Amino acid sequence: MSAETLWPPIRLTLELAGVTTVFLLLLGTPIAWWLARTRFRFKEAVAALVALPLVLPPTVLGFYLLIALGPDGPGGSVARLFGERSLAFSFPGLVIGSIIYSLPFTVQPIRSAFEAVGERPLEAAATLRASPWDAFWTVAVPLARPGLIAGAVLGFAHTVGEFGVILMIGGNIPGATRVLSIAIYDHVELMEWGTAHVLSGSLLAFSFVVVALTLSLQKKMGGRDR
Amino acid sequence: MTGSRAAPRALDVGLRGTLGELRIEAAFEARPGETTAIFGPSGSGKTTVLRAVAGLTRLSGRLALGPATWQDDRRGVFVPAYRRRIGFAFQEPVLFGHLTVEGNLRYAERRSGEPEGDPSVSFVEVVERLELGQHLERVPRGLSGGERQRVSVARALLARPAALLLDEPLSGLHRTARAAILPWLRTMGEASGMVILYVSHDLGEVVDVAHRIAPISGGSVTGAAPVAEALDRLPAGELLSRFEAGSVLTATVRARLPALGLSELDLAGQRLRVPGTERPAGTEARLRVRARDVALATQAPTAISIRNVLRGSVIEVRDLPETPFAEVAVGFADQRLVARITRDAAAELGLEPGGAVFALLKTVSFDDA
Repeated sequence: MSAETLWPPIRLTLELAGVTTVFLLLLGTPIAWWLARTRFRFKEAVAALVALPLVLPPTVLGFYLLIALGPDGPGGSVARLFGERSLAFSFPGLVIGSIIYSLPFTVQPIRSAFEAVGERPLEAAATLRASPWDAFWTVAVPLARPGLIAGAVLGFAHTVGEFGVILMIGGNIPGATRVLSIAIYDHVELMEWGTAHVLSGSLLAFSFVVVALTLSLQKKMGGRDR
Repeated sequence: MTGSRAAPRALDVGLRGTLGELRIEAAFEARPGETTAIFGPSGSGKTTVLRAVAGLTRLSGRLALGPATWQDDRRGVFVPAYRRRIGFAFQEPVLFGHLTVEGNLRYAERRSGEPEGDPSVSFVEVVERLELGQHLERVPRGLSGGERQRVSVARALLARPAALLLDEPLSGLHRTARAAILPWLRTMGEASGMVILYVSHDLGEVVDVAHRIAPISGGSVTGAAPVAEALDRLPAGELLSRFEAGSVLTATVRARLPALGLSELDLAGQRLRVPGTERPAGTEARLRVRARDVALATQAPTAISIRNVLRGSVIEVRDLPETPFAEVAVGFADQRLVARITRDAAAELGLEPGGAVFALLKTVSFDDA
């Protein structure tokens, strides 16, 4: 067990989760806002599409992603613009897979928070001459902040714990696509119990902190004044 | 002040539409510098009309503030709420929970587009008049209902509107607190030249604040008239009876009598017994007495079933036109009670302002019961 074996997968995992979380918020917040406020008849169908990764076996999602990101899929076409053959087995590929896989964990709490804010504060803002854009940033976002934090934390944590999808689209390239959960799997396969213990124990502690943090945030949100 | 203040502009309303079961028909003009009360019973469409003027609810027709057209369906014009120079106080105040009281007020002021220190509506004066000085640092969560309403009104004013829209804005305040605010609101409206629409079902409140009354009934409001004229025109039998003419008294709970299911209260030194024992001793309670539940006597009655008899003096006797009834206002210390008796009885008792009288209260209830 040495720092050289422990550190690269941890660093890669944190990088992946960090970059993914940024994209999750950028993409998930407008989706959550739209789902919370639209009267579109088929909005629950859209919501189901976003939530699909919750129930889909990761290997199924990973399989389709592998095809989409591979040399013959749209991902391959994008990759060729940058002189690569494919987005599969690359860090950008992992980010794309993680965004899709973790999206429901970010969208759901943010959508609930926007729904809890409701129409009335936005109407009040409108009567005070705040444009919809102004009201979104100065009223909706601050009032929904616990939900946004919960969405970010859950998206980050879920990406950290990802295994099946990454295995399918990322392979297991040390330093490039070999994340923590896969490293643990490898150490167990090689019967390196000590290293597996250290990594698993850290992940256990991390997960506990995340869940505790999220629950306390949701409690705070439930008791907030409207 | 400088020439930056826009010339006074009247609000011209011509809207109709359907909301659930109710057909809304609103056609009236509200003059600048005047407070126009939209007065009617609950469920008559008052709030809908106000929301439509604000652009929060969409009816069809035409709506303009002076030269600014806010809605004209024939020309396809609909100005969204945030582009109308309005201020709105909702009946249930909607304060921003993530901001302090001052934060809420500054939110409005920053977007008002008026130079700071506009003398007709200054931050300092609004805060002072609505008694918010000691609450500026607080968050809305901890405020009482009356405090929230005062913040809501202050915030609407600080939006420096051309049309101030108030939906029963002070319903949570004590009568005395309201009586201090309403005349100021009226005067401030006069000074600034803004249009004030004041929605209420409380005739006393309307008389205190309004220059004109636009009665609304069954979704229809078709004109505003000066207060005295409008009051005379109100069909006493039809419209007034539905408001359950009555009075609100403020008394202090002395003791609870659980064995009897009653509370004993003190009203300006006189004793009252009222059904209900929820309120702890020492608290202040508002009591509702319907005018038709009050009988009057000129001598202390004995051997009767009515337990609550208050001694007071006649303030005024007012005949209800087109009915056999008269309303008699009776004062106790600084409070007043209205009794509805027949004109015949009033004449026979020889009731005159200043005369001593006993009010027999057949039914008294806690205001929120």
